[in-house]
Amino acid sequence: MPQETISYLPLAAVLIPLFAFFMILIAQHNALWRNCWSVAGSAGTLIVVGLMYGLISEGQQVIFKIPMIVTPYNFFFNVDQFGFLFALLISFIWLLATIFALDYMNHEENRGRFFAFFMLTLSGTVGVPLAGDLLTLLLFFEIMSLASYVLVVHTQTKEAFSAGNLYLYLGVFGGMCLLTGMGLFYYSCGSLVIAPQACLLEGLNNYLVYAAVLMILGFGIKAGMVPLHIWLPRAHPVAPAPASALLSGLMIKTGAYGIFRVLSVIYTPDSSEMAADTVSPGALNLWAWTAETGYIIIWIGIATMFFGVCIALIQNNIKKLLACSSISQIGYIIMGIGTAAYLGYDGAMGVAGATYHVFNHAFFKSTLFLAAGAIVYLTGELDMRKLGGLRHKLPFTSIVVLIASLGIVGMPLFNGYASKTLLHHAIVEAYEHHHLYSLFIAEKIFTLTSAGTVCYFLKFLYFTFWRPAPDTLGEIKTEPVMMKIGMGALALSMILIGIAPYFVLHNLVGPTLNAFVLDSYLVNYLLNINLFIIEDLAAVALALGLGGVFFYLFRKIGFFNITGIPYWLGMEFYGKLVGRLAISTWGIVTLPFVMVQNYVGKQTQGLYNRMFSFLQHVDYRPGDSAVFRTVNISNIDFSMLLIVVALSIILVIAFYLRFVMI
Amino acid sequence: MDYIIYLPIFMIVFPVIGSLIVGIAREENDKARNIMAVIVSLISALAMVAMLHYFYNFGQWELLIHQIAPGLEIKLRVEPFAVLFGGTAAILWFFAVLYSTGYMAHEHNKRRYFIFYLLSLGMTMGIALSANLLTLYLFYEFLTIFTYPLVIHEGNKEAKTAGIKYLIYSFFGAGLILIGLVLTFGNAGTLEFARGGIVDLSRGSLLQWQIAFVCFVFGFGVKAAIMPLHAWLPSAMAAPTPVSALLHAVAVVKSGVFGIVRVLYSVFGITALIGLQMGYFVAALVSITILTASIIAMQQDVLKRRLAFSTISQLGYITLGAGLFNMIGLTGGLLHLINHALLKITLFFCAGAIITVTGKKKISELNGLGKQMPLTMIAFTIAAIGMIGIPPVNGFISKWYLMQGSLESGAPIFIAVLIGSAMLNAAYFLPIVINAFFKEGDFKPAKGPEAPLSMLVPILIIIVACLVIGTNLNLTVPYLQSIAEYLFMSGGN
Repeated sequence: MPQETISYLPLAAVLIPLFAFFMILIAQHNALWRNCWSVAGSAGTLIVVGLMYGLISEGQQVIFKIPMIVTPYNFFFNVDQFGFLFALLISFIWLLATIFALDYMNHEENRGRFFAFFMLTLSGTVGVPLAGDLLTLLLFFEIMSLASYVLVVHTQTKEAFSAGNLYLYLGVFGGMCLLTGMGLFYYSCGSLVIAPQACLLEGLNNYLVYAAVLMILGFGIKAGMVPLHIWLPRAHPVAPAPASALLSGLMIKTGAYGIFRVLSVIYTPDSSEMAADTVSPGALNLWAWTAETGYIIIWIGIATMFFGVCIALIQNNIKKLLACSSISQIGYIIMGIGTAAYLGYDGAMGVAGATYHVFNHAFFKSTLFLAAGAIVYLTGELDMRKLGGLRHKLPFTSIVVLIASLGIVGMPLFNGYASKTLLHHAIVEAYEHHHLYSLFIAEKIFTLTSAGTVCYFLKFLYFTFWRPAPDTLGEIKTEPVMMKIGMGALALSMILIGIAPYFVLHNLVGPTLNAFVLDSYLVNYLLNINLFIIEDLAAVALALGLGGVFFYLFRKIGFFNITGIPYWLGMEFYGKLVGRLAISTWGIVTLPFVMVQNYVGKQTQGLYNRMFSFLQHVDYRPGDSAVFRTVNISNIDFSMLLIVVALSIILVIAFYLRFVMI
Repeated sequence: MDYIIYLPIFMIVFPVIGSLIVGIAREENDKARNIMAVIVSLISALAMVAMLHYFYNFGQWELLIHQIAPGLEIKLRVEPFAVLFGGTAAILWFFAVLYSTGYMAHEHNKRRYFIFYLLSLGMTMGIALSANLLTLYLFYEFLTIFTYPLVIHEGNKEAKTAGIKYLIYSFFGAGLILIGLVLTFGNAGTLEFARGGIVDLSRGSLLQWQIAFVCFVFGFGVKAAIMPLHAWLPSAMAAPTPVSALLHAVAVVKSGVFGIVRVLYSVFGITALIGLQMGYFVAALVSITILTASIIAMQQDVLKRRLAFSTISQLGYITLGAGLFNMIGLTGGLLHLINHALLKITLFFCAGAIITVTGKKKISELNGLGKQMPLTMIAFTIAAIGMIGIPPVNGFISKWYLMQGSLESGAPIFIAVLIGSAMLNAAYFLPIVINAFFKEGDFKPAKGPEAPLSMLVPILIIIVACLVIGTNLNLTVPYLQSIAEYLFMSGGN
């Protein structure tokens, strides 16, 4: 067991941005006050998270607990190497995005509200990887979900509201899935700590299986897993650029983080179980179950990455293209998580690949969104078809975008190369594990997706930066200094990560493997891997070449002139269809009830009236009191429908319980 | 400990005397009446706190007031469940009276209003502290009568219709209770509440017991707004907002729920309940109520009516917890009794503040209200989040326990009900918040306080309490677990 140290640092990391949130709210119209607190909040979080490095690098776990008499509601932080990497990543990129936002937000309204909720969202997001049990995790997850809604609808346009509604309600739904999953898990296991659970070794009952499915579903919504991705291409582009950068770069990663924790930590046997000479049958069963689930997750990942590329290819709005690209890239990560679970004890490659890709994607996607923000700030335009020639007018942004793009397509010596190579290794290993033909195909789709990524980034670069500027584009000023600092720092970090992949692997990604139950031989193999061998380079070259060919062909046949997919191909069309069908079915089914209700109501009223006049007739004088007259049957709105439906359901249930169950 | 034993009587009698004293002040003399009303409610709340203190130090005690005939007694008892309901009501009553002084400033007939408002407090205490079914029934009827003038306060046609509806429904329910009472007394020979119940199914016919059970459930179900007996509650929203807030979200409706729980666990007892072979009768009934009421709530445009349907749905949670027949579920139900009281009273207070300041009653007119009344709307937002059941607001704790309870009883279907209802809650609460904060409207930032302080202060105090309870579970859960255990286990009084 790793050594544990009690420390207030995790609590401080969450409370600092929360404090900044309240501070900004107090005087939200004072620009200096607001800017200072924003930077102080995010810088403070980064420093506090950084201070944990000393303990974490010694292999210790930082814990903090506010115990409650009643389990399981402990306010419990437990930071291991895996959580630490996420927290560090979040607070670092958050700081740079905040700096970028200082200038960027000049052309938006309601800046005080934006910065306040920027800080509240940070508090939630950084709390997720620091949490030590599932309920604490859920608490921060919900804070993040709800607070980021304010960022999504910031512009208050009609489009923003419709995207925001989808985001909010899917977020609430995801939260409810998580709560239910945790409830089921707690009922079966009696614990919510994020650690391997002994009770799982006694065999998985239905509740535990449902719990896993619900939790993966809940986290999957946040991660943008197909088919739950529908909110992502709409919500990410409408937010202001710094917020989109964080939504796409960081917040969807919390979903991936959750799936990782559920599948590879909780639903995995303890390491002591593996250290024993013979593995117990319970552990073997659990491994088998996790592997099966992992196989499904691999395919969900593959579907997500491929689908993301397909829709990214037809986007003309820069931010929409980047959002679709995020779906595709999260697909890589989910696939990595899937291979890790599929390979189980031998899954070091999958864990490392997915973690490394989380790390890389956070950098390049936030950079790209910030660059898109710079473009819209300076030109007022996000449509690629109306842009062009920016390499001359905005050289700084161009270079930044070029670095990020080379990273995302996996060019050697840039930051995406190492993680994509590891993920490629992982899927190949998964194929070689059982030689399933389907996984062979998965590997091919992987390559094809990489080629697609190259293709749409060529499109992005060509249309926006390379080709001559259209006449409609006016004079463009240069980037403000804060924007340059934000983007520049990110670009610089990416170059450093790119040229020193082994450093990152050994010092940042490698230690995270300690949080998982993995074969130490394979971990050593991974840490000493040579990334620049001819096979890997050839795979990348193939993807790059294919992407170039696609781009050339698509331009020739005029594919990029397509403005959008036909309406009937979209998910929304079918959603609306189902909705309309449901409403009309409801109407038809309830029609007889309504008719009966009206009829019975009328007859009863008639009967009452007749009785009343009859009583008067036989010289019973109730006086002139209006009370008796006002007893109007339609007044007492016994909804007939309700009664009929309710009673029939009760009868059915009672009958069932009485005669079938007992 | 000498005179302390008479505290239960004091709890009932003092508000009655107090209401008469308040009545001395003339209609025009607002100031004196307001001060006296606040003092009376404050003393009641403090007496309640004192009683809580003695109860937790010296244990429970009982007090025989009058014996009508052998076996028929007017009797009070201080015990955990009584203290839970009485304490919640008495403390919230103080805040509600404080709020009323602000809300009623521009209303008519203030004298009548405050007299009956305080009288209802005494009757609610009577319900809470009653030691047998007869006493409970007595005060239950009194509560109906004393709240009638509050419902028809506006005096217009809508209010009068609502009043008549309220009376008809309530007396119908009371009639059912009386039938149950007679059947119980005839078969068991006593009406005394006891741990583990007084019902012995081997005495008397099973059918009679089943009829008594159904009579009790539907009888108390009228006030607990179980569908299809809920229709009085939305129309009673014609009453002034403090009445809706306290009586129609806390005292009156909770007295119905209180009655159901009493009947289930202190009269029938868990052994008899299982022997009755009624299975999930109550739970299934309220599950339908929970879902249907939420669906109807979505269609309401008048804010108070939407809150009323939300109340109907949320009361179902409490009854559901009681109907699961296990301790975890019961704990969840009792937790929700407190949590819902705090959250719903906040929502109603906010609605009342909005009516007082802007005069707007419909949700569609509230676009952009966040500019003018930010604090009120923030409180509303937090309460709405609590209603949905999202941490860190207190509503999620009760939902969690109810979930565990439904698993314990082997019926995970109720989880689907809870989650479905949570989604529906989100669907009808969040648009209000979104429109108030993000849509453009005609509202301008307020100069000075956004609402009268006597209204704003209770809102803020209660919403802070919601957050504190939601984050520090040591404050509620252990006590409620012990109360659930007290109700559940047999033996002793």
